[in-house]
Amino acid sequence: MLALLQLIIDGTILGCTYAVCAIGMVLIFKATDVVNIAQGELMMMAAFFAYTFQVMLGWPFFVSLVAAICSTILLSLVVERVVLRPLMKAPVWTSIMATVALMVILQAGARVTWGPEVYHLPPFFGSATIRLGGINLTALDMAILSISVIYMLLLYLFFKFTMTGKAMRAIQMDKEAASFMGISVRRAFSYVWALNGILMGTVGILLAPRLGVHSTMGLLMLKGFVVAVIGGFTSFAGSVIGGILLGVIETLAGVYISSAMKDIVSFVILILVLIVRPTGLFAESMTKRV
Amino acid sequence: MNVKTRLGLLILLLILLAVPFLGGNYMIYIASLMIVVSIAALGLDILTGYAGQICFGQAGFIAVGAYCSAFLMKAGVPFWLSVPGGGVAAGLSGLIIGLPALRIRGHYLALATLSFAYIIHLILVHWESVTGGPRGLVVSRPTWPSFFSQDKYYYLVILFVAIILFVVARNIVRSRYGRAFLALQKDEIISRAMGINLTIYKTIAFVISSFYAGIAGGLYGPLLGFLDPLSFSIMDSAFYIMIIVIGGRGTLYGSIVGAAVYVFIPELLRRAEFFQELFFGVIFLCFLILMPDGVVGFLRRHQSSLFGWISRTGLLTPVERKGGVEDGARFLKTAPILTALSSPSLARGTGNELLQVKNLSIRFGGLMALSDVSFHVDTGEIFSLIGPNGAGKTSTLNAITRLYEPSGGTISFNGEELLKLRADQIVQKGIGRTFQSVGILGGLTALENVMVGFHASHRGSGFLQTALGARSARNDEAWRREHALEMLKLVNVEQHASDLATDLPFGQQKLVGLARALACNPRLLILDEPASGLSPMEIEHLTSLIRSLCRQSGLTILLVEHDMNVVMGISDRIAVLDFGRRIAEGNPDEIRSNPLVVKAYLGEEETA
Repeated sequence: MLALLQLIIDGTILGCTYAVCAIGMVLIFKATDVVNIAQGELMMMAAFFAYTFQVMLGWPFFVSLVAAICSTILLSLVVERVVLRPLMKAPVWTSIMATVALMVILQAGARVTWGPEVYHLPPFFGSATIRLGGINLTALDMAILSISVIYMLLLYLFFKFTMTGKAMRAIQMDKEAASFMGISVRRAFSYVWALNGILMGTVGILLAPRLGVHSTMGLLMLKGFVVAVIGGFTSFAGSVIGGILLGVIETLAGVYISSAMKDIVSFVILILVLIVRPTGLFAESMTKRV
Repeated sequence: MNVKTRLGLLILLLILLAVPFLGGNYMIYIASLMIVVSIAALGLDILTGYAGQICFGQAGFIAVGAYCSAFLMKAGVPFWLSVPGGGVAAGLSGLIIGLPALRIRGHYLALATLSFAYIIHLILVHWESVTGGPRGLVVSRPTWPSFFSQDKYYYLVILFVAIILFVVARNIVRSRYGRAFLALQKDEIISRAMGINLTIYKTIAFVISSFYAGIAGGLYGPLLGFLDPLSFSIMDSAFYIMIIVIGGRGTLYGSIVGAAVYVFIPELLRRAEFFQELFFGVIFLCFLILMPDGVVGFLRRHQSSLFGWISRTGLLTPVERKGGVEDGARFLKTAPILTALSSPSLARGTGNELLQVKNLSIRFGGLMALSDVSFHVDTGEIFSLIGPNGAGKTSTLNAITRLYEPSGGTISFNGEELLKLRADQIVQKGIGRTFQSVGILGGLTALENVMVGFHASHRGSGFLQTALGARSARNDEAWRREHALEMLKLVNVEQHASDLATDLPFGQQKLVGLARALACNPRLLILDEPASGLSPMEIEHLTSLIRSLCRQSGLTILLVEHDMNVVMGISDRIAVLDFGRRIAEGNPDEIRSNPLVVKAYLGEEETA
C-alpha cells in the first residue's frame, strides 16, 4: 500500500511538469491559435543554459538558475519576434510548421553547440530526502511540486485580477474586438511567449538533474501535447488534472506492466481520448458561428 | 494533357532512365533514395497540400510499410507482393489513427500523427525480438528475376513504381476527389453544404497518404538492405513536411523537387555533416517566411517572366486547371440551358408543402436567436423570409441546412425529417444554397467552384476508376466541366470561368456561388441575400433569373433578402421575422400594408 502511495506521489510530481508544459501550450494556443511543437525544445535549451552557467562557467547555483530562466525567456521572445510575428497574417498552419522548423533547428543547434553527449547536473539541494510517514521525497521533488503549484496559482491570479491578464483573456475570445478596445494583440503575443518561456525554462532546470541534459530530452514534452489534448486544449484546469492523471498512470504502468510501456501508454491514452471524447475531457464548449 | 506537357514529362523521364547507365553506383543510390523519398512526399502532399490536413507522422507510416514488407519477405512472400502489402498495412494504420483524429480540428491530427510516429519508433526500439531493436533488421532484395537485385535494375523498379504512383496521384487530384480535398481545405462549411462528407474525404486523403508512405517504406528496406529505427524518428517525420513545403505544397511536382533538395543537401554538406539538419531546418524556415509557395509555386507565379521556355513545356501549369473554357465550349454548342436542372418528377404549382418548418427554436447560450417559428414553402413558389438585421433569417436557413443545431422544433422536406441528417446529406435530398457572405472557395477558379457543386449531384465513376484514369472517369470530368460552364453562363459570369474566383468583383463572386448552388441540382434553392453587393443591372438579371428558375424550371425558392424591390417583385408569399419570432405572413400586398411589419422596420411612432 505504501509502495503504491509512493508511486502515486512520484507520478503526481512527474505529472506536474507535464501540466506546466501543457499550460504553456494552451496559453499560446488560446492567444495565437498556434500549437507550439517546439515546446520540449525550449525546455531542452533551458537545461543546456543551466548546465552552461552552472557547470561550464561555474556560476553560483541560484544565479545560474535565474540566468537560465531569463535566457529561455529571451529565446522565447526572439522566437516570437523573428519567426512567428512575420507569419502573423499567414494561415495558421504556416505558424505551426514554423514551430516544427524550430524543433529541428533547436535540436540540431544544441547538438552542434554542445555535442551529442548526455551531461549531468548535480542534484539541487544535495541528495537530501524528506520522509513523511514512510513516503520518500527528495528536495528536488519538493521543489517541483511546490513551484508547479505556485506557478498555477500565480497564473490564475494574473488572469483573474491584473489588467494585462484580463486584456489577454479578451484577446483569447476575440482578437478583432479586443484590438478595437485598444488592446495590442502583438504585445499580448509577446506576453504569452514570455510566460511560456518562464514555464518551460523552469521545467527545464527542474528536470535537468533528473533526465540528464541532452539534445533530444525535449521529446519527453510530447507528453505535454497529450495532456493538452486530454484537457481539451483550452482549459488550464484540464491541463492540471490531465497532467497529474497522466503522470500517475504512466508511473504505475511503468512499474506494473513494463518499463517500455511507460512511454507508450500515454500515447495510447491520447488516441483513446481522441476516439471516445475528441474535444478532450475538460473542453470549454465552443459553437462556431457561420 | 497537351503535347508540350507530354514533351516535358518525356524529357524528365529520359533523364531519370539514363541515370543507371550514366552514373556510378553511388549516383544510382542517391537517385533511388530521392525517388523513394518523393513517393512518401507525394502521398503527404495529397493529404497536406490538397486536403489541408497536417500530418507529422509520415516517417511512422514509412516504418510500418518498411517493417511489414520486410516481415512478409521473411515469411517467404515475394517482393512483388510484400511491397504492396507494406502499403496496405500502412494504409490500415492510417485508417485507425485517422478516423478518430480527423473528426476534429487540424492540430489534433498533427499531434495524433506525431504521437503515432513516436509510438512506432518506441516499438521498433523496444520490441527487439521482432524488430531487431536498435541492432536493426536485414532486408533482402527481390530474388526473382535475379538481376533485379542489382542496384541498376532495382533503381528501375523503384522508378517504375514511382511513375505509376505519380500518375495515380495526378488522376486523383484532378478529379472530383481532388476538388473535394481542395474544397474542404479552403472552407469546411461550404464543403458540407455542397455534400462533401468531411470525415470520409479527410480519411480518404489520409489513407492515400499513408499508403504511399508504406510503399515507399517497402522499397526503402531492400534499397538499404537494412532497417534501423533511427531512420524513422520524429525528426524524419518533420523532414517530410519540410520537403513538401520547400518543393511547393499542393503541386505534386513539388514533392519531387523537395525530395531532391532533401537528398542532395547532405551531399553538398558532406564535409560539414554536423550541420545538415540545422541547415535544412533554417532553409525550411526561410521558405516558410519568404516563399511559402515553395519552389514550384514560386516558379508558377513567375513563369512568364522567369522561365518562358519551361512554361512552354507546360510542366509548371497547375495540375488541376488543365482544359478550361475551350474544352467546355466544345460541348456547349448544342447543350440546352438547364438540362442538368430539368427533372421530370417536378410538377409546378401543385400547392403541396415541400418544406415544413414547425416550432423551430435556436438558442446560442442564453440568447434565443429564433423562438417557435413555423412556416412552410409550397412546391414551385418563391417564398421570402424578411426582417430587420438579427431577426434570425440566416439562422433559420442554417438550421434547415443543418449547420446549426436547433434547440427545438421539426423541419421536414418532401415528407422527410431533416433534423436526422448531417449537413452534407442535405444537398442529396435536393436542397442547394448560397451564402450571405461571399461563400466562395479561394484558390479555385470560378469554374472549379461550380464543379464542386456537382459533388453530390453528379457522382460518376468510383475511386478506383478515377485513380487509374479510366475513360469513364475522364468523361465524367468533361461532363462536369461542360455543365459547370453552362451554369456560369446562366448567371452571366462565363467569361471569367478560368479566373480565380476570389479575383472577381464581389457581385460576380456571389453569382458564382449561385451557379454552384444550381449545380447541386436542387428542388429547393435557398438564397441568402443574393442581391447584396450586386449592381442594379446585375440585380435585374438576377431577378429575372430567379423568376425563370421558378416558373420555367420548376424550382422552389426560399429567399432571404434585404432589397425590398426584389422581394416584393418576385415573391409569391413572404414571412416576416422580428427578434426571432414570426410576426406576419402573406402575399406582398398584405405584407406591405401590415402595421406590425411597418413597425418592425421603421420603429413605433412616438405619440407626443
